[in-house]
Amino acid sequence: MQTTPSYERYQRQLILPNFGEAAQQKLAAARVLVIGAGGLGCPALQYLSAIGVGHIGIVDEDVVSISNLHRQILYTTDDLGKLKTEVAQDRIQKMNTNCTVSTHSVAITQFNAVDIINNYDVVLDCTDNFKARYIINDACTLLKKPVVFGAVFQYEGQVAVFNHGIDAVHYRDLFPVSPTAAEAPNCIESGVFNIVTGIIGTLQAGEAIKIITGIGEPLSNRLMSYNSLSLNFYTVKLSKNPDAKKNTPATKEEFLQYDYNQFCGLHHLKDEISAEEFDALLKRNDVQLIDIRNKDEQPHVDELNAIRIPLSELKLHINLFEKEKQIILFCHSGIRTLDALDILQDECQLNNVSHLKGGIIRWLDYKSNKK
Amino acid sequence: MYIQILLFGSLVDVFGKKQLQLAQVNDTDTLRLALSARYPSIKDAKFVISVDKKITVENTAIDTTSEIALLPPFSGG
Repeated sequence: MQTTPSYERYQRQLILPNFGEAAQQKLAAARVLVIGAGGLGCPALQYLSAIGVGHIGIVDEDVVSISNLHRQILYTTDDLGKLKTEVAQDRIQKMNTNCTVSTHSVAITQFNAVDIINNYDVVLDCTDNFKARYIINDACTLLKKPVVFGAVFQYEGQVAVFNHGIDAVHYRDLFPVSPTAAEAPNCIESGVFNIVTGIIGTLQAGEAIKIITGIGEPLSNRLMSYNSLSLNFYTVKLSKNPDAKKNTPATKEEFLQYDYNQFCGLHHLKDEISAEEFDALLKRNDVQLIDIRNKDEQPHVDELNAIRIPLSELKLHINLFEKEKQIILFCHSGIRTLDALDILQDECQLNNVSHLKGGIIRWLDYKSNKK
Repeated sequence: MYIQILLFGSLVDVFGKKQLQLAQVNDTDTLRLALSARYPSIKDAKFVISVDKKITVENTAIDTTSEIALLPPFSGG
């Protein structure tokens, strides 16, 4: 074997048992797509690039914000406001110049998923919401592409490999029914321990590398749960779920027509008010603001002139809602108001209610950016 | 006789503990009913039941020696 710069770069892994030149060449020929360049995507991208994956794609529509920095370790304070895809591309390209990096600065949707995913061999699901996860799962199931799934909740994480191996299962075999956003809160609503995203994202990269090179046993048809507080790993076996098949789009046409908003309990999208719209509406006197947070919840904003009726007491105080006004509900991050909309629209037959998307923290963010 | 149940993710908050002890039931369908009856707040919670480290996709027999875990989906990233 001749000593080339790339041999030197990879020498420590080339001498591993069962790795060698063959594995390195498979990695160089591989195309890996990382969807979501956040807490999970950042460490995954770093390890995929460093080990010598030939082509990496990054999908993310967001820009770097300050609350990302505690766990999204590719980004620095200087990157605030920049597209995550572009910053990540620059960093991992510099890390390994042998790696070609493509960026897709869009949110993954059922309309672009097939075209994007088709160009890759392995997909890492590093997203932060169920709608994206089911879209990725269904597109990859249609295209028969292996998915390395990763997800976190507070101090815990999950990893699984779908569409890979004999009798391969996918995410719908595990969870045939999607929870609504309110039932499974994201990092904004529930918080996350930064090293959990580091560990889960790194494990996802490891599974992708194992799939590409054929070393070891990927986590196919298994779900691994990690608890950082007890430092336990708990792995369970998965099998085909009869409920999964009837819900999974079987053709591209079915996939394009599937109602993911309905399936994921996002039917309140039409009732959303953006922070900007909300800010403009505050000046009007035909608007009634209802704060559905608990009595002592912070931040308290005096200038909003809202009535505070906690979610659990809405029905008790239904007489306080002014039928002739536009009623806008808000909470901390716009998750609990989805439950409130269900109660008020379905049970109380109020149809003049909407809610502040992203909650009071999104509006406060908007206001501080405007200054 | 009791069965022991391991809890994951948000279910730890819902039940207020990491492990649950419940009077013995004979299968996973009855377990779901027993849980909803005793803890109404979990009625709408989404989770899968694993028995002896296998996710159940249909009603599955359990006994006091079974290792039972309730696993909710996570969405964060």
